[in-house]
Amino acid sequence: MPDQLKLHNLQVQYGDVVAIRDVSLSLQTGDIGCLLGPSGCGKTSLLRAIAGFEVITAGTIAIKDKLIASDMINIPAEHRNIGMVFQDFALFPHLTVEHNVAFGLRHLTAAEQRDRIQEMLALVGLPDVGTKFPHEISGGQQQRVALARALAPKPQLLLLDEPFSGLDEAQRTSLASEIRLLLKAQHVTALLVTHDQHEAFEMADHIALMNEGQVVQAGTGESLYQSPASPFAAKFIGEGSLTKVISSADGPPGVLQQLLNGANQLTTSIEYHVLLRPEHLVYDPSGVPLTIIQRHYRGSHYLYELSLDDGQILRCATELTIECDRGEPLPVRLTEKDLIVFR
Amino acid sequence: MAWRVGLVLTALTVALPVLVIGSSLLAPYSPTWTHILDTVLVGYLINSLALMLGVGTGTLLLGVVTAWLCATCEFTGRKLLSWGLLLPMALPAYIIAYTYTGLLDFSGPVQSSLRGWFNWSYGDYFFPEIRSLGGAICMLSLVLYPYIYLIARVAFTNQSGAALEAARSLGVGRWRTFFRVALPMARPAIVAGLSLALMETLADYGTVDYFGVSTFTTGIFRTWYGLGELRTAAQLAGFLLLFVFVLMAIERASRNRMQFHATATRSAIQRITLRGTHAALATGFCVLIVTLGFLLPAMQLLSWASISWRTAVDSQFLYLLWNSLSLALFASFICLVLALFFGYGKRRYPGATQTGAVRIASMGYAVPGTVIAVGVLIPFGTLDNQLDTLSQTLFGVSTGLLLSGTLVALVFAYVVRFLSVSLQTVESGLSRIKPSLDEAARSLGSSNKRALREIHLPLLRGSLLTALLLVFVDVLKELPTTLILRPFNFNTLAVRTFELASDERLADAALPALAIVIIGLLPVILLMRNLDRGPSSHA
Repeated sequence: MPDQLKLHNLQVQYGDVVAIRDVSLSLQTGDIGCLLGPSGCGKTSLLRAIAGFEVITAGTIAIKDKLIASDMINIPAEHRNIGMVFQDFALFPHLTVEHNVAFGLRHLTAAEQRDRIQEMLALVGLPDVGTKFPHEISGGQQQRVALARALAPKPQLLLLDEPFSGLDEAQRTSLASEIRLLLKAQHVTALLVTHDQHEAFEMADHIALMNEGQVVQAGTGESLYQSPASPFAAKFIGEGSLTKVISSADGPPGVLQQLLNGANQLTTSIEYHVLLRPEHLVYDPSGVPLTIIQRHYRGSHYLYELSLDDGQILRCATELTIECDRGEPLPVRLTEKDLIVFR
Repeated sequence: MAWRVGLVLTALTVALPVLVIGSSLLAPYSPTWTHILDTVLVGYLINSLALMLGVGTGTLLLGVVTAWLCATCEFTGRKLLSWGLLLPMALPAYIIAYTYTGLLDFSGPVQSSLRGWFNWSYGDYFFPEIRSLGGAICMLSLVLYPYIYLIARVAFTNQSGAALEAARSLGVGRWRTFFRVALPMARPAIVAGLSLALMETLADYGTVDYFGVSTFTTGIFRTWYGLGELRTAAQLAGFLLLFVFVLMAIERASRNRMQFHATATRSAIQRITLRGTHAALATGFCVLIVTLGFLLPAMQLLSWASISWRTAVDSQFLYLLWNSLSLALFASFICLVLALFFGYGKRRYPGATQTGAVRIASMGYAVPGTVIAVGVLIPFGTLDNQLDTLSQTLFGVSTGLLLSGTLVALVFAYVVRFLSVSLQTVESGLSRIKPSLDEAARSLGSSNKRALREIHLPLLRGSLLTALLLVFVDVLKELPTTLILRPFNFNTLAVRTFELASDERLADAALPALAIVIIGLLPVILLMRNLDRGPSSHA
């Protein structure tokens, strides 16, 4: 089966600035992919290049083995049959919801259009808002209408540009999982752009982590979290601290060495970094005492920020019964033996 | 590239009159100039400065007080008055000037009644002379304060209630809060409005000429018509231009500061409910200004028109009306087309060159019509002479003056002066169409043409009509440009009003004046509607 979307050595350049460098990715039919990265990493440029709003300077974009962009070909956006949900939804303010959804359905007869509109609005759970104007419905509803509009012409690929950033926290999570179910049920191939890892985990089958115009690591959410391939991935995903370790044979072992004692470090370097996530540390009265510099109440647990003797900070989650104040020591122990180490 | 070149060339063409006037300052000065310098220039300077000082004070007083009352207080009739305070904008200064002259001069109803009641006769009493510098200051202040009122009212309304409450929680009283917090926060807006009002003051010709106050604009007219010295007139215009540039710089700087002062989060202001004497004073003050600035002169015009309309509405009047309306419509249409050209050029191909071109093209709003007219005469005259020479050598036929003294020159001058009005409206309309809308349309398979027709046109329609209307009315009211550039025996409502009034045929002037005022009310009504809907509403 051909890939629904295939990017090969893609490059996008604005003048002298290279926004996308050498990106190769592919997405199987029915899969949901995600471009994750900090702002300015080029993920939106990449999405817009696929949609046809940016001209690529090298490489190829193909949909079902058909080339839609290369250094020679540039099929205009309106002929790519790629749907897009915009960050600001971009609903046409002067058209009703129905007419917004109908905008991409010109090739259908009036009756077919009506059916398709009804079908799409029912799909996104808004069968009754058809005659309203965009400004008369809520932000979450606008988001669904934008989705219905993009899906109505049955695109070969759906692009979502930070689709939840305009919504509040509560809407965000519920809508993300709801939309994932919907896209899966419709066998839609989709590519999402976000800077929010939780959104990426919630929505996507595959995540491509981007930094400075390049894909630095691609894989499932689990693999990105559990085996980050670079210090950047380790720092960007999860709440871990990349902690610097200086091992020396002489002198008494520092607090960190005591803590790491027994971990499977497998390194002969004098100086290296180790990734310590909050779940790697547990409270243990007989553990290594670390000074508390901040305590965050998280409802179900406390998150303590702990200071090493050289000023580096570690995080540790505890039950609410373990209640210590700033400046007091909190004894902790390492639970994970297989730590991620960067030299 | 083609767009960029087109934009720059068009912008330069539009800027040509201003460039011509500016460069005339560097040209050699004729003996007439020395004569003017020795005799009248100091007078022009003093009068222009006094006028600006007076109108500045007057408009500030009227504009800021009414704006603050309407934005932050509650008193009887506030809603109606906050609209009504815009009405004087519909009155061109030269019309209100001659109306008040009719009301207040020796044979007018006011003095006649006084004489009747007290049995006075000529010389028995003192009555201020309306046709004076002071009179001109009063007239201009009465019709120009809305520039400040409008922008200051928005500034006061948008001021964060929290900032004012913070001041009061720090122990500063209500009235001191006004001077120490509200006024300083609104200052950039007020200064921007003030510089607009002062630009209009500098541009005024009708009022000062009618009142016999010699300023730069009347000086330019006299030098051109009386002495026939176009170069010297241009040099005088150049000095006027220097004043204008100072005002423009002040306005620009204030507008930048306004963005800076706009607070992101606002809580609505709690209006102060005025009671008793305070409420009566507030209502009375606003009513007085609306009456003096609009109701009284409008009534006087109506009463004159009711006497004269039988004889005045004739084929000549209809011809006048047709001339004015078609000319205004044509000019506003050209402005709109150019504004769309600039607006889309800047939107589709953004860049420093394009932004610069737009800025140069919209310089005209600040430049007095007199200056632009002289700036049009010079290049058009040169062009005509060259065409004539060329035609004579080639065909032996004299073409005479092909362009100057025709409607082409006049319409060009209108475009130079009013392009910025339509440009601003079109640009603000375009800015509301987010680029993502175009992209959404294209991702749904729509061509650019279809997006233009089905997305842009419906969303822009309001802005386009507004742009047409605003320029239409401005052209209709414009006096000095028309006076200088109109073809021989070509008359408009504004010119006819001014001519009749100058001949002391005040009652006969009322009908064309009234026509101007009624049409001038249209954009004011538009402003009132926009003011109430607020900036964010759509569709």
